[in-house]
Amino acid sequence: MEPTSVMPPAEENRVAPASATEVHQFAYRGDGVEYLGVLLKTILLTLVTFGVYAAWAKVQRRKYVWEHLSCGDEAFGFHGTGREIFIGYLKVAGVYFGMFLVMFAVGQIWPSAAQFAVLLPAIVGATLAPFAMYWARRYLLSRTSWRGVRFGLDGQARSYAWAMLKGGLLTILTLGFYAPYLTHNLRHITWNRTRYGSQSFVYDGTGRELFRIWLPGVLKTVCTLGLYSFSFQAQMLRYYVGHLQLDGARGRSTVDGWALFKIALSSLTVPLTLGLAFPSVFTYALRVVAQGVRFEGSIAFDRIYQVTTRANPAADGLSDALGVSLGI
Amino acid sequence: MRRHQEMPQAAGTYRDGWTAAIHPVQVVLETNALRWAGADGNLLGAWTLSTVTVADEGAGRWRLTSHEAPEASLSVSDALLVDELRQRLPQPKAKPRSPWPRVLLFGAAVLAVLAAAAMALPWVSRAIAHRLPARVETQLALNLDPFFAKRQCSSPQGQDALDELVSRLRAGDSGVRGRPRARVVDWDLVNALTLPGGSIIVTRGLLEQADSPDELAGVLGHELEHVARRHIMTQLVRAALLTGAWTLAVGDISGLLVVDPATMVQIASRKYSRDDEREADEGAVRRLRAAGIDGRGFATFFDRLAQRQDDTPELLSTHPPSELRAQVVAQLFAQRRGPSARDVETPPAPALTPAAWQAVRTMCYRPAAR
Repeated sequence: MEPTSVMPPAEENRVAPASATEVHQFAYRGDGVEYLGVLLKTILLTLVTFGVYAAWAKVQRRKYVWEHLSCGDEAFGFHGTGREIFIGYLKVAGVYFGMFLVMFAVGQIWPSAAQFAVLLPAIVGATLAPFAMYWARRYLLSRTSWRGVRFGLDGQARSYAWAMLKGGLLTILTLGFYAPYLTHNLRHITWNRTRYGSQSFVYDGTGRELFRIWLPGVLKTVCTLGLYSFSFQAQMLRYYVGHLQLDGARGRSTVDGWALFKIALSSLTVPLTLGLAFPSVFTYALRVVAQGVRFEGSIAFDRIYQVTTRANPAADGLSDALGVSLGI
Repeated sequence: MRRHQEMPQAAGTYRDGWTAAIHPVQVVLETNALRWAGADGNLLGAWTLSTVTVADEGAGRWRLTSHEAPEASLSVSDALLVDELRQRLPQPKAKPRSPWPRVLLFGAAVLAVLAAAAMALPWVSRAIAHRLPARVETQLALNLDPFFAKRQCSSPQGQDALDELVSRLRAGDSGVRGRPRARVVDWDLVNALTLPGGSIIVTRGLLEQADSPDELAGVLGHELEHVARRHIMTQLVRAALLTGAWTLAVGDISGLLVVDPATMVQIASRKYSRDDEREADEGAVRRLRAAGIDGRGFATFFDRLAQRQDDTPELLSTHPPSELRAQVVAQLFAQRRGPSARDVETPPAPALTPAAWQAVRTMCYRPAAR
C-alpha cells in the first residue's frame, strides 16, 4: 500500500514547533462486543415501547461512545437527556403533521393543485436540511464536555446554508471541480465558530491548498480504479486535522491509507453478518482513527472557562427526519 | 466519632466544571461529606455524601459527581479510599467480566419480539381494517377514482346488467358497508381487482376470456367476498404498519406521507394470501349457490386460463390456486356422473340473459358516456 506521502514544504512551516510540549492524544477504549450489547438492549426497549424509547436509546449509545473516547487521558462526557430529545421528536412530528394537514386542506380546496401539494415536504426538507445540520451540530457540541467544560457552536445557520447552496450550484456548474472549495468553505464556517469552552477553534486551511491535494487525488483514484482512494482520504484527513488549532495546540493526523483500507475491508463483514458486526467494525474504526489523531502544543486549560450554549434538541430529530443526521 | 487523622483520605483530581483545569487534590472522606483541598491546603470543595453518585471508570478509578454541582467531578484511584467509598456510597454498576451473556440475552429477546410482531401482524392488520371508519375507505376510493375513470368502459345497459348481477350475488351479505360496485376498465390484461370502498374492477381482457356469464359471475362472487372480508383494506393497513415500523427504525418520516393512487393500485394488484383466497373461494361458491347460478363456471374459468400456453394471465398470478377451487371442480365433475340432486336454494338460472350478457361484453366497444 502507498506509504504516507511527504508533506509539501509550505505545510511544514505552518506547523507549530512541537517542543517538549504537551501532546493531547486521542484514544478510544470501547469494546465492540460490549457496544453490541448496548445496541441490542436499546433496540429491544425501543421495539417494546413502539419507538418511544428511541430518544433514550440515542442517549445510551452516545454516552457509551463519548465516555470511552478520551483525549489526553481525559474522557469526554455526553450530557443530553432522553427527555429533551423525545420532546424534540414530538416537535418535529408535529411539524410534519402540520404539513400533512396543509397538503390535505389544499387537496380539498383546490384539487388541481393537490399534485403539487405533495411536493411540499420535499421542498421544505431540502431547504431545511443545511439548517438542520448546523443546528444538530450545535446541539451535539453543547452536550459534549471534556475535562468538565462544554463545547459550543456560535453563529447563524443562515450563512452555512447559503454557502452550501452557492457551493452546491457552483459544484454542479463546474462539473465537480468546485467541490474542495465547497468543503473548505463549510469547514471554515463551522470550525471557526466551534468553541471549547471560551476558547475558539481555528481552521487555517485554504480552498486552494485543498484543491491542490484534491485534484491529483481524484485523478489518481480514477486511474487506479479506486485503489488510491484510501491514500487520498488519508491525505485529506491529514490536511484537515493539521489545520485545526485550539489555543496553542495544532492537530496532527498520522492515519494512513493502509489503515483506512483495513477499515473499509472490515466494514464488508457488516452486511455478511446482517449488521451484527457493525459495533465491532465501528469500534475498530474509531480506535484506529483516534490513535492517529492528536493535538500538539500547549493549551492553557486554567484560562478556558465554561460558556453555556443555547441549542435546540429538536434539531437532533429534525436532522434524522431529513436524512442528514450526524450518524450517532 | 472518628478523629480527623483517621478519616480516610487520598490523592485525587478535581474538575471544577468552571474552567478546564484539572486540580490535583487531597480528598478526605468524612462521615457525611467529601472534602478536598488543593496543594496549598485551601479547601476547594465539599459535597454531602448523600448527593454523590459514582461511576466506575475501570482500572480502579472512580469518578464521583454530585447534583450539587453537575458539571464538576472528582476522580480517585487510591485503593483504600475506593474501598471506603464502596461501603458508604451506592454501588456503581459493576462491569460484567464478559459482555457476551448480555449480548446473547438481548439478542434472543430482540429476535423473540420481532418474531412475535411478525406473527401478530396479519391479525392486527385485520382487526384494524375491520374497525376503520367508512369515511377512510370512501376517501381512499375517491383518491383512486381519477386513476380508473379515464379508461372506464360504460354503457347504460351493460352497467345495469352488471349491477343487477352484483346485487344477486350480494343477496346474502350483511354488514357490508356501502354498495360494492363493479366497473369495467378498458385494459388488455386479464384481471379483476378489489379496491378500498368496495369497487370491483373487471378488465376488458377478462370479459373477452369469459365463455359464459356464469364464469363472470364466479369471478364477481369471488371478488365480492374479498370486499366483504375487507382483504384489501387489511393489505393496505399491513403495508402502512410496516412502513410505520420502518420509519421508526430509520427515523426518516418522509415515507409516511406517501398515499398516492399508484402505490395503492400496486398494493391492490398484489398476490392474495392463501387464506384470503380460500375465504374468497368459499364465499364465491356460497354466493353462486344462493343466487342459483351454476357453479361450474367458476372453477372451469380458472382452469381454462391456467391451460393457456402463451402467458400467465394476471388473474392467476394475483389469485393463486386454492385447494377449494380444485375441490369444487372435482366435486362438480364427479356429480355429473351421478344423479343431479344438489342442495340449491333456488332453481338454477343463468347469471345473465343473453341480451344482458351481450350488453356487458360490448361495453367497451363504445366511447365512454359521460
